[in-house]
Amino acid sequence: MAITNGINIGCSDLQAAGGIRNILIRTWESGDTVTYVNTATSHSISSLAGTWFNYEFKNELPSLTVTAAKENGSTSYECALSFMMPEMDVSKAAALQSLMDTCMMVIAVGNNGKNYVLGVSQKYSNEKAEVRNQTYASMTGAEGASGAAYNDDNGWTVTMGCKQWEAPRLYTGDITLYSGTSTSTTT
Amino acid sequence: MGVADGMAINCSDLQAVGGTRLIAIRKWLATDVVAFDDTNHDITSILEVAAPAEWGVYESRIESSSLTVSATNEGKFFTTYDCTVSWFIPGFTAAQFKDLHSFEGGDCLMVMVIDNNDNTSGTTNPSAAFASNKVIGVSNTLENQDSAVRTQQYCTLRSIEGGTGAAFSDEIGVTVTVGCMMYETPRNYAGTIALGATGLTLETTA
Repeated sequence: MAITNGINIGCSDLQAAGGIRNILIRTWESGDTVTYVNTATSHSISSLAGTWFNYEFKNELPSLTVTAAKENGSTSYECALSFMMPEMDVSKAAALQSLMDTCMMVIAVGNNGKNYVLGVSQKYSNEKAEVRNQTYASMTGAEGASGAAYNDDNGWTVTMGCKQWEAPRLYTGDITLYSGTSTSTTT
Repeated sequence: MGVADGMAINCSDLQAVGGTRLIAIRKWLATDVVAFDDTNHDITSILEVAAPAEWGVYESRIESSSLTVSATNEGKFFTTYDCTVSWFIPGFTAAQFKDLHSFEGGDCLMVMVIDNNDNTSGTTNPSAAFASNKVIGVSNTLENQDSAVRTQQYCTLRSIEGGTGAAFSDEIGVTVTVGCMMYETPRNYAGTIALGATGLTLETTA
C-alpha cells in the first residue's frame, strides 16, 4: 500500500489530554458484525452494534500502550490497556473471574475524546465468521496488592492485551455511555 | 525453460508475509479432471467431471500453519520435491478428533495452501482473490498418462502429534502434517476459487 497522504499537526492535536476516561469491555458474540473503514485518512470502525460492560477505575492510572514491530513484511501491534480497580473486594474478584477465559473486545475512551478499540481488527481476520477472529483481546495480567502502609493503594491492576497486525482502530459510531447501570451500547 | 530470463526481486517481494491464510483439502476422486498449463507451470482447473470440485477448509491457530518444500536432486533428470503442510488445532476436543479420524484411512489427498500475499501487507481488507496459492498432491511430471487420479504423487496424512500438555498453561491440541512427494515444484491454481459462506468449504472451477 503506497503512501498517498501526509499528515498535519494542528493546535487541537497539541492540546490533547492524556489518560483514559472510560473502559468498555464485551465478549465477542456469534453474529457480531463489524464495519471497517479503510481510506487514506481514516483507519476506523464505523459500526459494531453491541452492549458493553463499563469497568471503572481509579483516575489517572489507566493507560493504553501500543508497540509495533516489523519483521520481514509483517508488522505486528502489541496493545496493552491497564487500569486499577481500587479495593480488592468480592465484586472485583468476581469481575476478574469473568475476564479469564473469554475472547473479548475493548474500547478505551481517551480524555481526548477518542475511542480506541482493541481486539477488533480486520487484518488476518476470519473471512466468513468474525467471531472466529483470533486477534481478540484477553486479560493478559492482573496484579493484586493490599499495600503495607495505611496510605498505600489496595486494589487490582488489570491488563487487557491483544496482538494484531494493524494499528488499533478508532470507533467512530455512536456510543451511549451508561445506557444501563453498568453497561454502555454501541450503534 | 527460462534460465536466460533471470529473476528480479522487487520491493513487493521483500514485503511478502509468512504463514497461511487458508488450507483446503480434498480427496482425489476417480472422476477428477485436472487441467495443467505447463508453460506457466500452473493448474488451470480442478473439476469433478464438469462440476466444481469441493474442498474442506481447515482452520488453525493463527500463525501456526506452514507449507515447506524440500527439493533434492541426485544427478538424475528429475528433482524430488518433498512437500508438507502442517497446522496446529487447539482444543483436543471429541469433535476435532472425529474429523481428524477421516484422514486416517490412507486417503489420497490434494491440498491447496493459500497464503497472505494477495494483498500488500498494509492492506487490511481480505483480498477477494485467492491467487497467491500453491497446490500439492497434484503434479504433471512423471504422472500417470492415462488418468490424473492414478498419479502416485498425492498427499497423505504424515503425522498427528500433540497432547494435553502437563501444566495448566501448556498448549493442548494437535499438529497435523499432510505431505506428498512430487517431481516438480508445487503449482499455482490459476482457475477460480470461491470460499463458501461458512468459511469451511471452497470450490474450484476453471
